[in-house]
Amino acid sequence: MSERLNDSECEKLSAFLDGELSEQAQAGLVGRLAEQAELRSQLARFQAISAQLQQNEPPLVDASSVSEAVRRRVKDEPAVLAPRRRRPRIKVRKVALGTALAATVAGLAVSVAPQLLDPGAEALPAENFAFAPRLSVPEVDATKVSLGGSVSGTAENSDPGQKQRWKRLQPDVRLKLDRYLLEHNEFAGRHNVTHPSAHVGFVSGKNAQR
Amino acid sequence: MHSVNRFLGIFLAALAVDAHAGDAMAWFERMRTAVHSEDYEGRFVYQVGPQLRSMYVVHRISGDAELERLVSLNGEHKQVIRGGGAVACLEPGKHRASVLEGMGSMPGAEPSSAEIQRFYDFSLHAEQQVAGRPGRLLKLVPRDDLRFGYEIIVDAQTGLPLHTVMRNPSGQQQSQMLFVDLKTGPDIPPIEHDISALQMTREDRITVAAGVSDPRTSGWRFESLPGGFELRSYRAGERRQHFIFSDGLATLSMYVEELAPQGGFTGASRMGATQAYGDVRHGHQVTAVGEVPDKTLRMMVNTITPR
Repeated sequence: MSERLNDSECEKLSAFLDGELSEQAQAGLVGRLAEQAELRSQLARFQAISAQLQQNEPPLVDASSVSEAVRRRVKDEPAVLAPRRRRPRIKVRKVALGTALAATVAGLAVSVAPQLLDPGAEALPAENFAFAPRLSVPEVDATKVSLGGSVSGTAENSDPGQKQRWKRLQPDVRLKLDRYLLEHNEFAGRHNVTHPSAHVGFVSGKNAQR
Repeated sequence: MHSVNRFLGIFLAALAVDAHAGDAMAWFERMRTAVHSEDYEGRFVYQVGPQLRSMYVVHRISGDAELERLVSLNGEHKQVIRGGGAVACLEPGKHRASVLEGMGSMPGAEPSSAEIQRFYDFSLHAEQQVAGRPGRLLKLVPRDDLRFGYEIIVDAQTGLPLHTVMRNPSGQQQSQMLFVDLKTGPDIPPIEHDISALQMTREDRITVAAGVSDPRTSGWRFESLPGGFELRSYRAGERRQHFIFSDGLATLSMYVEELAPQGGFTGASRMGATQAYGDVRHGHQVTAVGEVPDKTLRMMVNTITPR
């Protein structure tokens, strides 16, 4: 039994994918996602559109070994590494809301990315969840200090907002920590059993700035 | 007669508890294997604090190699492509790729479920459904405050985690991951084609990591490690050494490198659910990184001593 989503919910989903949803609204969204199968289905459709909008051009190589291909391209074919012309970013919201929202978006999704869709997905009753996701903010250690750029460092209170980046750090320290995190995820990743990828935290976080 | 009945009751209850824990461990073992051996593709949301990210993952096994592509569908649209001993991180606007290779494990490094159970209480709960797939709720509750706990709905068909909530020792949520849709099996798109994405890279800083080394040659030893954490792997580069510790579930990395001329850094920070703590010890920059409580990272940094 799937309930129809109203325009407001659709707009929130597309705004979320476009990075235009407030943190407060984001926090509320995950709770509703756990409870509403139709909302999850709609998000999956929007995600498919978003992925399609971001999708790279057709492959120029068919490598059986990613490692080999990376090395070959980086070391031997520097010319091939020239950046592609960046496409202007098309927002999901623009695509989604440019027409008659939900029904039209579903149709667009089918036409744009049929291979990414799973029409067989069934609605999931909310009562099937044993625990609703809690939206509590992670624990904040008031004694925590941000990493400073000197030996002595500068004690600062941790950001209670827990933004997903190394906070208030000098660029060289942030870059170093980014590298540490990437290596940690990769090399300790074989011990990962709880997430679909060891790199979830890195990819979801904001970049260090050069 | 009354005491006999009571004894029997206790005995049967103990058997039931053992069977329950055994079931939980069996589900844990399935999950442990599935994450690295199943072909899957799906979209999920990942929440840390008030921030929510939408992500796409495709994971395939090709021969002995794990191939994986992970893309952020909102925010900064970062992606990671990995496989064959290499990982490339693509960051829009920065055209940066990192290629890492050369890691291995210490002999006999993988702890058994029984060993892990010394530090976590395993329990299996009622059947759940996520993204239209049936699963079982598995709870891994830490027995001390040195590691986080997990509530995971494990896919009944494949053993993959469908919904993971990570909690700190006080029970507060640190992060959660929820699949919105998930496909498994032979129809997963080939990741090899995604290698074309690597052509976006330019002005690359290519790091070819050093291979596995014998930690006894590192010049460092660790005294009084936090309970359950053992050295699982080690590699050494020209300026930096990387030690990986794990209790079989939680992992943390310790980096030791020569102090830069401009000095080092000290203190704690975090990115998402990952914590970092750095300090200058014995004339070196020592930094611990991992999804463990801040307290554990500090303890770890304090254990390092020159040989």
